[in-house]
Order: sequence, then structure tokens, then C-alpha cells
Amino acid sequence: MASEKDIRHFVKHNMPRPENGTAFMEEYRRSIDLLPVPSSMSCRSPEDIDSSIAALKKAAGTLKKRSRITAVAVTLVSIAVLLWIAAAIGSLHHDLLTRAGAFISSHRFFIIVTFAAVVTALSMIAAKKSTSGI
Amino acid sequence: MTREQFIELVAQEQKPLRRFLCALCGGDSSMADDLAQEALLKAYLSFGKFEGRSRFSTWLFRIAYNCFCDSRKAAGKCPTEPITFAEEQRADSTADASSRFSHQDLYLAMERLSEAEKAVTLLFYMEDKSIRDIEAITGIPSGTVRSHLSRARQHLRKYMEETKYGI
Repeated sequence: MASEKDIRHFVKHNMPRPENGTAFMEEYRRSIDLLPVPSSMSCRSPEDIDSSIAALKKAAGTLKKRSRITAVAVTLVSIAVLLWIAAAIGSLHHDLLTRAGAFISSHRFFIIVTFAAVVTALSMIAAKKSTSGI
Repeated sequence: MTREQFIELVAQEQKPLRRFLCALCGGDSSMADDLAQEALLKAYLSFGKFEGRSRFSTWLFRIAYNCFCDSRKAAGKCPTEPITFAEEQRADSTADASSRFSHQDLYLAMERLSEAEKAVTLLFYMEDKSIRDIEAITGIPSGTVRSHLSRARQHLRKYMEETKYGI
């Protein structure tokens, strides 16, 4: 009766012996050359990935800060221009300011509603523009 | 691990993997090589999922065995269904000329085993895998692996007694 060792010997003696290992590996190499390198093999350590995330966060912060400064500067300039125009009109037509004051106090409700509607519309347009690129 | 290191590891493992698939495919070395290429490409793309809980070779064999089972299912054959002698001969006739008549004894000895039994036997006797590794590769519980091996052993003994290998 064949022993365990005999069976193993029989299988090993009759097992197929694949040839052309070099050609097989060349074909394999050609195939994976056509594929993207998986992220797990991109040679990037966890420290590298963390530093890249930190750099991205820093860049995003700088951009936000720059946008905020620009927005404040534009607001200040527009207020200054508005005040300058008002002062110029006031110096030329003194009674115009009095009439404008009376008009504002009598129609203040409509002015506030119009102002709120314009601000809301502008903010909605801005929000739509900022999310359209995502 | 870099891409080059991965290719180096694969180069070390390709021979036993192709041998196992070739024996499973009844000596059809071109089909076995196609399956091996498919399995190794899958391994390359999903290397991130390799957790290192088993050996790299075990992981590759598992992918290769799954590719083989998928190909059998696609061909409309259940992997647990035994291969008949006629089917075995038909499979051999599709093999390339160099491998058609080589190692016939091994294929004939295992002709009446189911594919699962064949896989377990080849992994145990040909690739020297442990029961635990075979369980990881095939997904068959260790108790079933042992019973498959016991049945295969009986068949191989009987075959060896009836042929020139009789002791």
C-alpha cells in the first residue's frame, strides 16, 4: 500500500513544469504598464501624505485670507466712493440732502425691503457660482 | 512596497502558481497562463487590500483559485462537480502539443475527484501547503479539507496500486 511519502513523490514526479517564465513575466510587465499605479504602490509614506494634506490646507487658508482681504478692501473703497459722491452732491446742492433725508424717512420700509432683497439675490447668485464648479 | 518590488515578488511566485493552475486545467498550459495573468493583474490592482495576515503566496493562490472557479462558473460548470474521464480527455485535447501527453498519470489519477478535491490535493501534495493555508486559499473549512484529502488519498493509492507505481 502506497504511503504518504509515496503519494507525495508520485504527485511531485508527475506535476506539470511550466516553461517560458521570462516570457510570462514580460507579458505581465507589459500588461501592468498599461494600468495606473495603485495608491498602495505609489511609494508614499503616511508622513508624505500628511505633509501633502498640511500643504493643501495651508494653500486653502492663504487663498481664503486673500479673498477676505480683497472683500474688505472692495467694501471700504465702495463706502469711501459713496461718501465722496454724497459729500460732493451735498456741497453742490445743500437742500438736496434735506430732501433725501425726508424721502428716506418716509419710505424707509420699502428701502429696507429692497436692500434686503438685493443682498439676498446677490448672495444666492454668489453661492450658486461657487458651488457650480464642484 | 513599490511596483518593482511587487513584480519581483510575483516573479518568485509565478512558477508554482502556473503549475497549480495548469494541473487544475488538466494540462492546458495556455489556459492556465491566461488565468495566472488575470489573477496577477487582479493582485496588482488590489494590493492595497492585502493585509499581510497570510503569506503573499497564499494570497496570490487564493486570487488565482477564485479566478479558476469564476472561469468554470462562466463555462457553466460547478467547481464541486466531478470531472468525467471524457471531459478530462476533451480538456487535454485543447492543451498545447507539448503538454498534452505530459504528466498524464497525475491527471488520470485524479480524474474522478471533484475540482475542490483536486485543488485540495494539488495544494497539499504538489505545493506543500498546510491545511490552514489550503483553508485560506480555497475557503473550504479545515474539516472538509481533511475529508477531501482522505478521499483523494484513497483514490491515489488505488491508482498507484493498479499502475506501474504499485508498491
